[in-house]
Amino acid sequence: MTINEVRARRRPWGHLLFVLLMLAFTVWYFFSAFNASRAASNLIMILPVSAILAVLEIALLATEIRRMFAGGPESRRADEDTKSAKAGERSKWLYATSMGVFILLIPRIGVEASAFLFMIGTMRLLGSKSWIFTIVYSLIFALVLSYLFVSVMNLTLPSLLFGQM
Amino acid sequence: MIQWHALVSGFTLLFQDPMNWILAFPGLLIGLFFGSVPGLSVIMALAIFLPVTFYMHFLPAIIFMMGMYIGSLFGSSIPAVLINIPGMAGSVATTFDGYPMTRKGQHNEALGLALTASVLGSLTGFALLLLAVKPLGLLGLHLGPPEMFMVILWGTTLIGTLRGRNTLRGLAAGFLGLLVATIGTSAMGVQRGTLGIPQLLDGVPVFAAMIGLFAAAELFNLIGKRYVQADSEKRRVSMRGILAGSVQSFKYWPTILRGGVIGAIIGAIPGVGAAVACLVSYGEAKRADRHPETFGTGNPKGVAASESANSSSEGGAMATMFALGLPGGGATAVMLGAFSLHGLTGGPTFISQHINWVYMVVFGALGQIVLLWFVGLVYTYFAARAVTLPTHVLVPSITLMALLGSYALTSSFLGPIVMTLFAVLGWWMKTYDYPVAGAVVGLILGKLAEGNLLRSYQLGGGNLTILFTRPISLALFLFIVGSTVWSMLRSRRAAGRRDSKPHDRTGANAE
Repeated sequence: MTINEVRARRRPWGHLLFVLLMLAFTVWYFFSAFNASRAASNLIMILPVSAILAVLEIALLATEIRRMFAGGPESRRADEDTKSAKAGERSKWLYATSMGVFILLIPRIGVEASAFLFMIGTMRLLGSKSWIFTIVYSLIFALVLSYLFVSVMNLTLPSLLFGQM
Repeated sequence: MIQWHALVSGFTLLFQDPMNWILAFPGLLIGLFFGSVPGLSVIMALAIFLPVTFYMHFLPAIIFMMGMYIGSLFGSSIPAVLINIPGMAGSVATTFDGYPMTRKGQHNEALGLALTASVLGSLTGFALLLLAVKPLGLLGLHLGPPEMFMVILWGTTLIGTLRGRNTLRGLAAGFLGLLVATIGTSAMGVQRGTLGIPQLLDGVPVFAAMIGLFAAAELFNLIGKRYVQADSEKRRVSMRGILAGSVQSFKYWPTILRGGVIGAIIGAIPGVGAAVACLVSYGEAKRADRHPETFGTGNPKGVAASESANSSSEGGAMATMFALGLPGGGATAVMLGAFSLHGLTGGPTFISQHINWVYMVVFGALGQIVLLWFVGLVYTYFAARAVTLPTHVLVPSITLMALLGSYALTSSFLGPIVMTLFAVLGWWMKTYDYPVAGAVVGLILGKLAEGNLLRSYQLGGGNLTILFTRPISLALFLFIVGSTVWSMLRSRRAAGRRDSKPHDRTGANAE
């Protein structure tokens, strides 16, 4: 059994929530398009695709609910998930959050500083032991990449060194 | 077909001064670099280096730009094989088997195979261009929206074959991708699901979303591991392994030839391009194989099918560019602009008056494709060292490049935001065993499918029967249905054989 399967079985609620979110998106998107225009030209693809997707999602919901009520040894065994899997999941959340923080920081402190902080934070998060290596590598990589994107490729990114804030 | 006088004239023009060829090397290297960094693209490379060519003579300028174009075709397969992130959308199918090969410690072989398949595919595409520039280019005129829709539908059937272990989840992932791809302003000017965000009027940036989904599928998965490949012996980079992969590719010549022809034909259809070509070729290779179940688990034929088709599609795109003066995609649009600055345009008049120039470009491309094999070997040898980097260096570096690259693609923060959101979506999908690849196929093909379906509907006067009344469209439809049914029957038979085997053994034991 893969770690993902173990995790998926440990938390049937998680999958249920995921399918519900997909279903909510499908319904919302269909009605958003439907309200925008009921013309066949607008719904020619959206109607059949969202209808099929909704049917698939309802079938997934039904399967998941049936499995939850069936219970059994599989769901109990899944409770024996390891602590390392939980720690890995926390790291993934932190990593995704750091991507978001990086985007938020660019307009405030410029691409070079944001990239430098992102590199330091994520390298440490992923287990870099040496502070000196982390700082030196992050600094060089952030500067080289910022120079490439801002000066060579002329992107309008807020920049402290190579462009304008 | 071939005009021999023009052919000799084109050849002579090209080799009148060997010094013209010096710029082929930097061109190929720039192309390889821009292709191999997720988020960078050949369009950016051409746009950045176009001003440099203003100071060059006509021939070195054309060779330099063609070098970038050709180098990028293979370059994008390097991250697809090594870290499961395609450098460009055209290499999406390379990830399906290329990365599993890396996980098995066969990254050297996978890269060598991808390089040679790409070179052979490009040679096929440009050879077809040389032989049939007019018919191949005019093919675009005979294929209207109904035929284009059928070609895209052909690519979409891959969703069914990428369903993974759970059919329901696989199909849901594919259809979710298709639906998300329709977000934005429709061809009729109706806004769908944009939430009032002006940047979403053009839709969800597909490449940023694709990097996000793939990044989550693999980069997030590497969190907690020290290396991409745990076994230090298996992550060794060896030129011998790369060469072995190159030699191995000749074993798959039917797959490469089929991919080359599929790629050249699909590439000749304006606006369809390398991504559809590689998906269709991959799907057909899987359907035609005796062991389709091995695809997606590191089957070298999957890499060969994808790489040969995406590379040869550019030969087809060039045919349309020369024959009709129409760019097949973004890269050929910039190429056409760049060529026209140097007096080389396209269209029927141009082709009838300056066919020797077309032959010159094709010979130049063929020469550079052969050079690519040598330059690519050296580049690959160094690029493959990415797998020897510890994940705490590799993962943040790739993520940062991809985040900035997605900014470059959209020229706004929408790119990195979409990439991050789709990374979270991809991570959830991976957690609950939904095939990310299916969603990516849907994302790539959704907008194209909707546009061509709508145009077919309008062309048919508000009726979709036009899809089945035009001969090429109907033939394509019957082919898709036939090949899908045939592959389903064959896998059912294979499953039946597998099920009966243990039973037979039991029987034998009982005896």
